[in-house]
Amino acid sequence: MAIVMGAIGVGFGVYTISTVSTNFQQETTLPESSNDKQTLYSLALNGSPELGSSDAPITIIEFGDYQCPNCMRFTTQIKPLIIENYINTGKAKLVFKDFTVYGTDSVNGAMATHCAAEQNKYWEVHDHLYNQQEAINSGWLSVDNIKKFASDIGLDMQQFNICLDSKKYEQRVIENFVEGKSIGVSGTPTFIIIDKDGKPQMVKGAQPFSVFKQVIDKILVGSG
Amino acid sequence: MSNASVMRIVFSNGTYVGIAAATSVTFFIIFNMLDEYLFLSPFFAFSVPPDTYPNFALSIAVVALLGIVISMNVYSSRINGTKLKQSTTWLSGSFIATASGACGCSSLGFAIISSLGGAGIAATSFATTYQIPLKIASLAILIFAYYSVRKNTIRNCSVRN
Repeated sequence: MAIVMGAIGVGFGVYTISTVSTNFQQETTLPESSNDKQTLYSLALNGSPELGSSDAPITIIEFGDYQCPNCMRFTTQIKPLIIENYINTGKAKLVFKDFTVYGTDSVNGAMATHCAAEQNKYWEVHDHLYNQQEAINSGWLSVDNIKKFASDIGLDMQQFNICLDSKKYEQRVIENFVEGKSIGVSGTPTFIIIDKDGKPQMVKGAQPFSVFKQVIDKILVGSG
Repeated sequence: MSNASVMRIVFSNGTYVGIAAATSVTFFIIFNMLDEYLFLSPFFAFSVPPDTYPNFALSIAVVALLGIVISMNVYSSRINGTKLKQSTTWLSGSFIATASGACGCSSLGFAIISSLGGAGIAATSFATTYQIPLKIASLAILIFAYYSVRKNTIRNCSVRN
């Protein structure tokens, strides 16, 4: 038994190192040509809700899952600082893209936010879901629970229920996932910070605010 | 023979201090990258969110114990040869501790989910939900490994004396 566990341990270590090294390679494969940059930009923005001024020179695209603990940590601890320093000041805007890694309940959560967007309550539901996060796939993102959350926020429940029950936005959530994978997203949260010329920079994980500050300030200084 | 005496015997030689330090530092880096406390790109960053202090403290205990146990195993093997079963117990502990950091939302977790599908989701969900109990379990295994190798070391020293 110990030998088997030992072998698995060694294999896991090798796998960890190879995965980490693959991630570093992926970070350098973001589009470089102007056409590709434009593709990336339009791909990421296609209809996704934006937080902040649409004229902001910097676009921060977040790929996240409502069941991901690190995404919750970003939303509750780091995002408020980004909003205060860069979004409220018109320097950046935030776009959220669904990257549902944990299955059906994650997709339920993502569909709910798009249904809420029909009533201009996307960000309210988005933040509420992260604030209510519990153990992964424990049922907290079941359709019934989501309807309770929506009711708490004050959505028109008849409209919301029809939208959620019909899975109106399921295809869109799936498309977001596919788009994310196509540009090298391999975990959540992942951020792509794009300057006004479309040059992207990837930041993986719920990194401290100081990292986002360095990246964004560098872009702002560079763009004059 | 007390714990302190055994440690003094093993770590009086700089080689074993080096092995322990190298092991602990390596696992410290792996655990903290998996737990997303340590980032190397786009800048070096290290940050432990306050709500994860218990997990971080357990990680420190695990890496410290791993360094000691592995170093003592090498010492014991060199002195008199050790059965494989005794010297691989620490691997079980290190595997469980490493797996506890495999959050499905991390790149490693995502790779596991992509490879294993539903089973990967279940495995990474379990690892994330029970991260602290898994770290405690790995700590318990490493304490067992420590006492196994300590017993072996004392036996070897007694025979040599």
